[in-house]
Amino acid sequence: MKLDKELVAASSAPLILSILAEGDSYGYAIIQRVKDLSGGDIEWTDGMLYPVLHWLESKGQVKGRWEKAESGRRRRYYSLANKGRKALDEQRAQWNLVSSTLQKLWRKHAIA
Amino acid sequence: MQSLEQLISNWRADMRKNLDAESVEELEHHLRDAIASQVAAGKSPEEAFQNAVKQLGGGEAIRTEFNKVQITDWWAMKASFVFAILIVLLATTGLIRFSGRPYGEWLGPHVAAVTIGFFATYIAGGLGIAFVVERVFSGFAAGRVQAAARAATTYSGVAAAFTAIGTILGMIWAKQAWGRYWAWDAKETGAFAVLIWQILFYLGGKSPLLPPRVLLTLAIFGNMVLSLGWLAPNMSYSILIALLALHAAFLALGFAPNRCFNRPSEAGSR
Repeated sequence: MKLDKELVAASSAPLILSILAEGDSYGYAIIQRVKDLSGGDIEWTDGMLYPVLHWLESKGQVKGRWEKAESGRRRRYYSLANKGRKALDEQRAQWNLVSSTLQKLWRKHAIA
Repeated sequence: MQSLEQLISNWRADMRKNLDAESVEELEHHLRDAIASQVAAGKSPEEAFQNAVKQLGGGEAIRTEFNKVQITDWWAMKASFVFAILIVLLATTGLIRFSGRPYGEWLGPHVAAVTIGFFATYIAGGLGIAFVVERVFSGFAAGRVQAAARAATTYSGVAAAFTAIGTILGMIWAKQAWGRYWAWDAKETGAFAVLIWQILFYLGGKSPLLPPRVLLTLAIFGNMVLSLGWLAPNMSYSILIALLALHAAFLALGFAPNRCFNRPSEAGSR
């Protein structure tokens, strides 16, 4: 399923924050997690993840750090900051509200 | 046939044209993970590389996304803005000091209103100068360019209002002092030209036809109109020519295409 780009843009931050709430991670692993969770239906252009990660970092919602990976090269890991937890709570509340409202409407107007 | 490391090396060099070293390093790690995953699934290294590069996206597209979320110190913009305001303060102080005329009850408000109007025009031009200077060092998110263009348009509107009021007050003073409202002398003609520019710029800013970047660059031309219309009757030609030449240089910088600037980093630049 191809999502509208506006929906992809709007959902990228809460998805990233939610994944980081499970534990520290890095770019490629975040992309794979999104694919796994959505059964492959949500596919990002991989490179677009990084501007969003940097944006979240500039807002203090995530913290990035360089660590040596198994290959000997540096890998950038991200962790959820306190500000990010608060932002995630707000995002969760907003998405739940939108989702529950839409569900009520669609149940009401469901086509048999 | 190129080896995988050669392909990655070429890809790295290509990405460095658009992104800073740390971003490319991060992306390279992602690329290698993606290649390793596909090779483990049975693809050849070359095919895995091509697929991974396609999935990652091009350097220019990624840079565009970084530009939308970039953070910059805006030091060039702040410095240019302060410079523009200093120029205006110096010009205003110099004019009042050297005019030597007695101020009537209409002349004072006239000078104040026109000075505010002209000052606001210089601020709009200052925004344009700040924009073109900052553009040399880092890219601009579209939203920020639009915000700067809206600010310049607003200042131009304020400028036109004060200049118009000041012009009317000046006409009333001229009638009292010289027995006529308007004589198309150098200052009056200059002020009229400035007012026309302010109105045209404001209308241009409100029109959807003029891109924000072009509008901001044209604001610099407004400084030149103002210098000719306001400062020229009161200033030595050599200073005026130097001022015009400086603004012309900024104008040329504003209309230079993006590829003229070898900006080393736009993602996470400080």
